[in-house]
Amino acid sequence: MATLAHSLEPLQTLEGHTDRVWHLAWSPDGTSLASCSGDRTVRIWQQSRIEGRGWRCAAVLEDTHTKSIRCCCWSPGGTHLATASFDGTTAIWQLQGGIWEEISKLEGHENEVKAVAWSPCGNFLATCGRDKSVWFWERGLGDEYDCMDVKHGHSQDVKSIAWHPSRELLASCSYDNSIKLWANDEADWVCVQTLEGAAVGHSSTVWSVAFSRDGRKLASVSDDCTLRVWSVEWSEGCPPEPHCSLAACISGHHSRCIFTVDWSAQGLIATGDGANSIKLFGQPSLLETAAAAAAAAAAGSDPAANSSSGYIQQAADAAAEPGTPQPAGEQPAPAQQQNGELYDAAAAAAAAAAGDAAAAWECLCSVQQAHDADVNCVRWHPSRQGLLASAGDDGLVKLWQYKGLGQAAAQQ
Amino acid sequence: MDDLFDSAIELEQSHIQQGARDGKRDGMRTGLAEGRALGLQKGYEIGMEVGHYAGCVRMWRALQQQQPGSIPTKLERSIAAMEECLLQYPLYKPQDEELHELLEQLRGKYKTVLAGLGLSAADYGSSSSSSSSAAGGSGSGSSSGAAAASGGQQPVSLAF
Repeated sequence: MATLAHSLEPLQTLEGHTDRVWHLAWSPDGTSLASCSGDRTVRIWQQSRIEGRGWRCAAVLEDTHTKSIRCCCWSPGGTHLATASFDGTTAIWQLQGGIWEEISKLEGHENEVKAVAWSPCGNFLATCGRDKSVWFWERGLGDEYDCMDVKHGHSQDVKSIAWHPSRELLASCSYDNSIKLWANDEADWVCVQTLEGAAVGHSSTVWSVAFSRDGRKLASVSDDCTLRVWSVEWSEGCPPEPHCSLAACISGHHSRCIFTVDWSAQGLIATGDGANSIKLFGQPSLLETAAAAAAAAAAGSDPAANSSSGYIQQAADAAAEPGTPQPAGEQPAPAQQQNGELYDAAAAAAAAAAGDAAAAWECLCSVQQAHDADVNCVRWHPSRQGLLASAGDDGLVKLWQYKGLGQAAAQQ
Repeated sequence: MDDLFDSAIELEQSHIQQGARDGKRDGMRTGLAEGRALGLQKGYEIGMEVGHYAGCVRMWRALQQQQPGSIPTKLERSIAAMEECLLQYPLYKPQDEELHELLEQLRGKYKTVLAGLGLSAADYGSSSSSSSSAAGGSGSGSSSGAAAASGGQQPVSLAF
């Protein structure tokens, strides 16, 4: 019953790259989409100001890397872009006067850099690569990034990394089938937990990890065709210590290696796999509760919904570190203005309140042949509900609109 | 009648037991020899790597004294951490649980310092930081190969 109401509609196909597109990143203010490719360039896509024209390529960043660009990441303030390349370097770009310029190059990895990620507070950059190490860089004076620490915990190629949205905690995943969690101990980074082993950890390469927007869950996808959801808990103490435990193992939906995973603001998980498909997962019981709450809130003045949106605003404020540079005039947290956005807040509040770990996960919808080849990356828009971007080995970037329960009336 | 059959069964049993004893004895002999060879190889590799880091730290300290300002101050923490690690390194306790973790820590700090100096491992004729990417089994062949491939810098000889 729930599955019938969910769909992923294609919106637009963005052409331009001349080789496989490896990775995507939405700018924090949601106005730009960066895509990076085996053609050694990054393309910045922006929505045309002319209504109905869709997204077009606004800039091409090239002539820096000598090999494929595997990953790109925006700084929290949206002013810089980091690109990680198979040539072993990570470049930092800055938008100055409408032009993207390379301002710094981080060297040190012995071979291909697989991922780069900016910490939400903006002070740290993490990279990982085929040399099995995770590097932590710290922002110094001006635009300099100094190497802080190099960690060799993984025994194989490290595929990807992801920062917790509000704490200094990094998750890394590897060809060695494990996920490691790294926390800051003064200026040293320490592996505080390794998620591995029979019945708990993945049984093959873990390709991607992603924290949920509220930081309470971690999703991981693997060559073993499973999607695992872990709950993230913090111990009492100073400083509080993190601990992850397996909350759900979702299997039987993918026939090939799952390459990418991303959480939406409402707690939906999108995955892309080697069978060219994009699948969406959610917890229908929680979604129904949230939809009901949203409908009640939209219908009239519902004190419960108002207080839950207040909760979300508080949580969002708490999540933003004191030093976070906010893009002028933009709020990363959903503002209570449209029906759709209010649904967002209510859904998140309902999920948080209901103790969502136990609710069953279902595949809400599946798009076969989303691309003509492997789907390398899926990314939800930071604020526009249901807008999803995907990148594939076919060299294309595609935009999709998710329509689900309680959204029949909500507009995009 | 019991005795007749018993001795026949026992003959089989005694052959089995004899075979087990022989196997154990021969196995221990070859096992010991193999273990010794492997231990020698691994010990050499670890010694090489730790010695390389010790030499680098000595060289950086000497450089700091002779040419103040040649080593950026931001690297002080990492170099000091390496010194700490080297002093504690259980070179003579092969069964120390922390043997490998400390080595990884040293490796990480070493790379941090090199990155801070704007250098790569190849510039320093690194002994084993690139052999860490080779399969565990290829041992001494890969480490000497790495040293040779990286430009033939003479490893610093230490009095330890």
